[in-house]
Amino acid sequence: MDRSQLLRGTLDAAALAVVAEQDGYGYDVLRRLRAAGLSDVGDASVYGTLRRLYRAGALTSYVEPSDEGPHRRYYGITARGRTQLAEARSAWAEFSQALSTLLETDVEVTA
Amino acid sequence: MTTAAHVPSDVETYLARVRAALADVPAEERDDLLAEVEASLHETASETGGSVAAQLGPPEDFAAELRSAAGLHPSTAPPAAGLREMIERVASDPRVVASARFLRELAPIWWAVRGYVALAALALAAGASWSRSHGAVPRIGNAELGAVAILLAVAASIALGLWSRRAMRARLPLAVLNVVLLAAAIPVAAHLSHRAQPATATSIIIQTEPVPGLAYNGAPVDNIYPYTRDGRLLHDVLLYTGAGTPLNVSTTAYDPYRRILSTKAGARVYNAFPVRYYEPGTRVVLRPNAGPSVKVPRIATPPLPVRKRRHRGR
Repeated sequence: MDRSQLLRGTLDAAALAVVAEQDGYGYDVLRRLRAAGLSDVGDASVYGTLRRLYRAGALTSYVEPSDEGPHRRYYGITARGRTQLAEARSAWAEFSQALSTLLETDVEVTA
Repeated sequence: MTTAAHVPSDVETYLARVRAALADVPAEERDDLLAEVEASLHETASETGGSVAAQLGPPEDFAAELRSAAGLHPSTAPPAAGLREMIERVASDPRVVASARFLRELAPIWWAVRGYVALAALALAAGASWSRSHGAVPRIGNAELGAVAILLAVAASIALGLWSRRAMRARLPLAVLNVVLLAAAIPVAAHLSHRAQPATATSIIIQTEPVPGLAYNGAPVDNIYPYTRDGRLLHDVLLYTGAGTPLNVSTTAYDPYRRILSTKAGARVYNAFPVRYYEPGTRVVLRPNAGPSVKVPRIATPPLPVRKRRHRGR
């Protein structure tokens, strides 16, 4: 199965988890997602997702000056974002367990 | 890293194309989104050292992915498009197409109306009279012929409409004709609404008692001061109407101070102007040359070639 398809529904949770761990700017979040094993996550998908989560109030944002190039817009998680992340976590746990049992193999994607 | 200095120039072009693909996104949201992307593109470029296009794929695909991830609806109506595209887009909008089809079905009603409007506008312009019982029918000779003319005009207009559906070349002149008739419909409608009022309301005749004596624009005239073309005030000028009626002023009340001319036979003459008044107790007009403060203009028209006749006294 195409990994990008699996990613689509879980990117919100993945991005929230990364930002919950530590505030980050767009490219930084992308890098950390990739480092976590989501190598084929799309650049634009991550930036778009961050903006959408910010608009929905799950993320807060602030600008920090950078020595290298333009200012960076950092994202941090909000209380609403934590609730959403917790819900996603339990939903994913339930879902992945069910699917693992069904497929009798380990699902490759982990959050 | 010395990013800003050696950022490959294709970041700017890439960004510009992403921006263009997001032209329909509300400006504020788009700017925030692109600010996010710009910073990240610079990092991508400086980290990979190559072209961002090679790294990220076509900017349009990038924009589409950005749009879908950000939960912005796919573009259906980019406002940055030219006027022509805008018109085409509006024209191809299903609601517009449906309305146009609906209007097309209603077109015959307009054809009939415009036939009448054309005839009524011509009748109005020609100052024709209108049927007393049917205010919408102009009299062409008589009201019956007017009604026939209306039927003919309506039939001709409908025939023209049916023909125009097949004749593409006639589109423009007919569009002009329709606009003209639409404009002509305004005075025609005004006329109809005026005629539609109850007959009793329009046939009220206002009768007023005629004012005795002279009047000008409704105001009574108690004196007239005739001047010659070279500004000389005339005296004892007898004025008559075209029917030969003397222009008598104030014949009703007797005024002892008024200087009244009389004929040799002793008849009083009341149409001599200017009317003068004696000083009380005398038979003398104190200032016979007094008149209103008028300045007789310098006349350029040559004097009438009046042949001087020898005065024959009776």
